[in-house]
Amino acid sequence: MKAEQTFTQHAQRAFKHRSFAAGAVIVLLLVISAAVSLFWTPYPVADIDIPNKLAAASAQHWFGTDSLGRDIASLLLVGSQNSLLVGFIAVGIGVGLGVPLGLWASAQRGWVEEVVMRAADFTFAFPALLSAILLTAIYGPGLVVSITAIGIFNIPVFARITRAAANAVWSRDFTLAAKAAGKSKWAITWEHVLPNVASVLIVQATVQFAIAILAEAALSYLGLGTQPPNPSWGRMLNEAQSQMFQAPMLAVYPGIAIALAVLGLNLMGDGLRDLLDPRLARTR
Amino acid sequence: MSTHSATHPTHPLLSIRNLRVALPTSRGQVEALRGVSFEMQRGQTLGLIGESGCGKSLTALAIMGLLPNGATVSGSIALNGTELTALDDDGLCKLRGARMAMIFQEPMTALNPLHPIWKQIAEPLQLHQVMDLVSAKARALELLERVQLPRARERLDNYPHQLSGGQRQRVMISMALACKPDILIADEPTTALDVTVQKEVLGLIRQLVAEDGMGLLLISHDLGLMRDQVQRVMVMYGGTVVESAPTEALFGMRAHPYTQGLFAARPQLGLKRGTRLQTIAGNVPDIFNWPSGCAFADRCSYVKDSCRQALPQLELVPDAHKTRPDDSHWVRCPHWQKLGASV
Amino acid sequence: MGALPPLAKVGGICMTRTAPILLDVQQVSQRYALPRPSVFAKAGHIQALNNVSFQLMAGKSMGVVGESGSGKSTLARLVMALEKPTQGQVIFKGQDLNALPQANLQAARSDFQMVFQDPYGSLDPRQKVLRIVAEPLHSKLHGVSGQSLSASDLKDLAAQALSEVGLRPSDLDKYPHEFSGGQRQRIAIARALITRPALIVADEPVSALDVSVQAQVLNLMMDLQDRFGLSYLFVSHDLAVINLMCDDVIVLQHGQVVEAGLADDIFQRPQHPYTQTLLSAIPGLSH
Repeated sequence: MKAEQTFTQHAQRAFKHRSFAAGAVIVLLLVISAAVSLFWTPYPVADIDIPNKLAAASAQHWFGTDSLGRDIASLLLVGSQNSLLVGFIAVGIGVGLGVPLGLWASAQRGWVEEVVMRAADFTFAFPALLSAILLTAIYGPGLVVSITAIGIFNIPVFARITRAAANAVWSRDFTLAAKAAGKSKWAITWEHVLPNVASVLIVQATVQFAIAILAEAALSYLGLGTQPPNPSWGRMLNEAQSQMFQAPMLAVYPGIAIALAVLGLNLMGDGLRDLLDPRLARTR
Repeated sequence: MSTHSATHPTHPLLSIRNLRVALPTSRGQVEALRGVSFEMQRGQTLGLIGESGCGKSLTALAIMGLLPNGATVSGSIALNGTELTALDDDGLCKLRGARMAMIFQEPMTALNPLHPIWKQIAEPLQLHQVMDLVSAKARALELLERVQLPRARERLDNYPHQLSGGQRQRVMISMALACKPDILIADEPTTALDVTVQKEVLGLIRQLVAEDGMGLLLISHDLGLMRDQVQRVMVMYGGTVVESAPTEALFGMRAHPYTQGLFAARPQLGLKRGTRLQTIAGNVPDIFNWPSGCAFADRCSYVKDSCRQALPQLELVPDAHKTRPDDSHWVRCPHWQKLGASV
Repeated sequence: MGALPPLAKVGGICMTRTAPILLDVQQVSQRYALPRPSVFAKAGHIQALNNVSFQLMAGKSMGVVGESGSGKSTLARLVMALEKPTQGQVIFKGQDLNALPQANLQAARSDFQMVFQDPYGSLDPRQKVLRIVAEPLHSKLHGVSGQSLSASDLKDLAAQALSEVGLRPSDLDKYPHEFSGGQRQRIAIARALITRPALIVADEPVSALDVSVQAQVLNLMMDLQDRFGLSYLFVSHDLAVINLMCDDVIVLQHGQVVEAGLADDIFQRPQHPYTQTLLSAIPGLSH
């Protein structure tokens, strides 16, 4: 008799949770779009077809064409690559730097904790988007700079949440037992604290992923994010502005794409919170 | 147990008949209480004793109507003749705090950390007796003095975290007694307190209950506590009452094998160092796997085949000193006589 | 209260020191700083322990009785060298634990282990029982303290520890949430036993358990003591349990030892008013 539930049992339980299931399906769609677009799109995104510009949705162009005759469906697909890339890297920066900071602050307590938390407060004091704009003004617009800017603002988020969750774990007796066994603070942090805060971090990561996508869309809309000719949902929105009365759908498609991506991630994060926390917190 | 009406022409204060509660779980509805029946008269003190999972707290919650959503209740709970299971939430709200009150184990979580204590005591007064704020505050002070909270006047504006555990429990008692309810249910009221404070708080409860002529249902896992505090003890196991007797009768003789095991397992001051305690073999059955017959069958050294077939009925243990039906000693075991009840 | 004479002279009976002194706590005090009430005010202090001394002989058990705020848990942590005392020494098998270099302290730790009160908090819910029980051996795995153990050695030792507490080797593969409170406490005891310590500090090990389960765990602890010659430093508020398990007792109130001596003497003829109050407060005793 297996002592622990198998992966399929976990998966079955997960998909019974409506939020998670809905969110996961949407996110999966996003990932598939990005993956597929690496190899194939209905039309090459660089192809300009002026005679067919601003065409309505049809069998040839599922979502129509934009002001330069580019196929919107293809643009959306390749744009999803962009969004995913931003999400992963920005959250990666936040987790990679923020989580160790939070763990360090929690393990050391005292002045280390004070300094780290005040530094986090300091960073929070700056409005994230405006600071990103500032950075692009200094270093020039582009995908790399905007990802970095968004990533930097993820660091204090993860530092704070990691520290809070880690403090709760340190107050439990099993860390004391590990100390009594002679383990160092770092060994305890790695072996006991981190696995027990992981669920909180996973949930936060999905939330920050969604925020990163929104932030990149906003920067691209302002012309500071992904630069042409690389497609970006945010920039599609900007380009659609001038065509608002001739082809309003041009704004709708990327808008829905962004909204759907964010919705999917938030639903998935919500579902993960329910699925991961009570099971781990279950004591009796 | 249902033959009391001849000697008690008025309603008993609390009458519970065949109370069954099923709880919603991930595997569907599971029966947690399997037919609890007892009566409480005005001014009587009853104790419910048992270990984790026996259903004692659930019984209290069922009486108060505080079961989780999705729980199904069948059977009858009558308070002063009013059938509680027939009331909707509004009806129960009118009774809670006013006619029946409950105090809980952990006073820190039972009190709102954001309200000063006078406000929390005033709440039932404002709700049920429609008092204005000024009179409610004055009455709160009276109540705090009655529960012997030291320096009550200065403490009125204190928040729960500024008080010690014993003091918070006193606040909770005054909240419960604010509207002079007919019945007080105390669910492990002193388990979280030091033993010296425990003695004071229990003494206080007993005194107030006697002064107001309330019925007291005291729930605990501590046998010694029962001996000091209640007139009658009911032992619960596996969702039913397995033995029920006046306190001294129970401490004189145990008829049910589980009660015998429970008494024998206690460490007592008189024991010689290193004496091995008597244990009950096996473990409490999982709520999902309750046996069809007697819940104790798998752990009982005297089990017979008939025990597993159906839940045993209550049998009377005759007692020459019995003067009233209230003093009867009941046991849910058909073979108790052959066991040789232990002393 | 002035300092009490060492246990050897209590009651006028001179106990001959045939058994070696396992644990010698000498005038230990512990002070904690409180958070400042405001930026300009000075931080206050709390005196958790004040000049506590006692000696525990090998093979014997000592009970520490006290209510909340008595300092008993602080004392347990100090004996386990999980904290350093503000004053005083904790001398285990002749060595001052707080004066030892890190490597020596690490080696000494396998000789004293702890069992905690909360069976639900003292086991890491994310680890399997094997890892939990084998944790005190972790230094031996890497050959830090001389002998080196392989992973399969660890597994054998863990399986053996589990069977000594009445669980099965197949339980090694399970997670703590699959066990009841009493079983988890057994796992905690197995973890404490695995290095064959001379001393086990038990901080209210049965207080969170049901009466019948408590009896099982106490019997187990007594069996283990007989079998392995363990000493217990048994911290509890329950006088009946302490009387059952311990030869000697110290009574703590507000961080000070108010009474110390043989358990039989203290419980039958308590001298200090606080001890008398504690005894009279036991429910059910007046009958």
